[in-house]
Amino acid sequence: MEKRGRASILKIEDFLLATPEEAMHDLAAIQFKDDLLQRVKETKISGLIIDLCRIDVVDSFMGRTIGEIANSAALLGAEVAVIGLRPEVAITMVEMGISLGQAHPLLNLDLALEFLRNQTRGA
Amino acid sequence: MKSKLTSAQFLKEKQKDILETWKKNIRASAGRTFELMTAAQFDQETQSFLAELVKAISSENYEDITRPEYENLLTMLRRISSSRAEQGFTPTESAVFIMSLKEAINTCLGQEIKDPKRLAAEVLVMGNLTDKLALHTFETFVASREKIMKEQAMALEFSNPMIMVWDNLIAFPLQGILDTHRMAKFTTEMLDAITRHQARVVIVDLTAIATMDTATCNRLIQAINAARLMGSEAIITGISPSVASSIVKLGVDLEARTLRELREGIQYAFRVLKLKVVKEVS
Amino acid sequence: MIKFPDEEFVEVEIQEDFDIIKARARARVFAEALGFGIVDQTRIATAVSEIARNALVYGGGGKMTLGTIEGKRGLEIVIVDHGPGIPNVDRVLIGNYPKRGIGLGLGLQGAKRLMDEFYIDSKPGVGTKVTMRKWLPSGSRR
Repeated sequence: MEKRGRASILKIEDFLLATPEEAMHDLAAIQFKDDLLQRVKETKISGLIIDLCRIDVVDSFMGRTIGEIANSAALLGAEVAVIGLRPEVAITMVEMGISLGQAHPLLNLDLALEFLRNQTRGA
Repeated sequence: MKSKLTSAQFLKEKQKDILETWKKNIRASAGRTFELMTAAQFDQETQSFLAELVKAISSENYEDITRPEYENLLTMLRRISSSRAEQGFTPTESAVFIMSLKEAINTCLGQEIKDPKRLAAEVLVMGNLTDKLALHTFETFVASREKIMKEQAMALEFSNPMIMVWDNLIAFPLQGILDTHRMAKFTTEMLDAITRHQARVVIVDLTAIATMDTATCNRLIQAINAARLMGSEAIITGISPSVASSIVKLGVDLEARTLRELREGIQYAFRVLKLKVVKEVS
Repeated sequence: MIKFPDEEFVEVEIQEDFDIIKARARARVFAEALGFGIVDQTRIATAVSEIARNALVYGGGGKMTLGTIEGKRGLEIVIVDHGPGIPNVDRVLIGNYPKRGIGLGLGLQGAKRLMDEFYIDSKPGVGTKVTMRKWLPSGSRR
């Protein structure tokens, strides 16, 4: 496990689990994205799970960043699952019209792992 | 009375006897007083009330209960009456409190005063007082009851009961008028329930809903989309023909799986959850 | 955790990246102290995040002021910058985006949807002032 900036990144099976620990300012969010995508490229992992349980605000910038992570990861052969979105954040995102792009929302870690396993099996 | 004692002094002297008779009367009235409170509470309540009454009338004012000397007594009476209302006593059961006290006082007066004219006068004075207290009790009781009923109606108006259908599967049979407040409450309740029960599928059943306007449709869509962002699939069942035609007329796309009936919703959910219902072969 | 139960007025400078986080955290705490529920707190914090970012990225930096209004029945947020201003701000608000305006427009539209009242006063060459208000639902005042 390592802590880069303000997010912890674990390896689980053939995937990475990234958990931003707290609200990231824009520069940190970009750094987070770059670090993750670098890891995806280097280790050739086939799936990425982003756990947003510690995040209390997802604004348009954060939404866009997550979308960019998903798009770029897809180009590198890795699907992105998002878990842990808080109810009040989900409501606000919907009201604002913010989406997670290509990232797939899943209910919890088990389901995210199951989803990613099925994706790689299919590929 | 033996000496020229006033009612107040008399009550004070005979307090213990009156208390015993009063308690006996309540017990005999066959109400639910004893189901709903302990013996200790009952003793404490009657004793303090009588003591407070004795204190109040020691001012020799038997008429005007709005005066300050009656304040503590009325407060106590209000408290007792409200709690009776909250506990679900009937109006009669709550009136028993004062009525049986009136009886007890009359009994005592009758035992002690031999002069009929004097007895009548004392009974009248104390009777008027206890009647005023009884009316006060009754008004408090009714006001409390109405407040409680109103609160219950309001709670029902806004609550959205949830059914735990199976592991990871919940249902919300919506009912009543789906106004802004209700829809907002529903959304947070549904999303919290998704987290709490890890519900992969939520069935939103609209069988009991008669009409949906544009605003309600949009709020429902938002709720479903928020659930989707959390990784849960909210499906709609039970859309009536009239609701269906108003949705079509509004030109709204619900963007969610809709199934005709609750059972079809459950079947769908079971498929998602990879569950199967198998009939036992006997 | 800083609480502002009695403060009626909070100011935050928005001059760098991290100030956006600071502004929205202060807004959330202020909203909570006023009696807003968690969902409204999140709406307010998110709206602040959007507008503060606009002030920083497009306006070159600015200032946020938080205050209570009408005897603590509501919350008012004002974010001001002295940047180039937004030409055709009314069109931007309704979604008619001029060339570079997409992020700006989306942020403004989104924030507007989250708040009860939303006013934007922008003069090219002078700057932009956004005023947002949210009212406590009846019966939830502290």
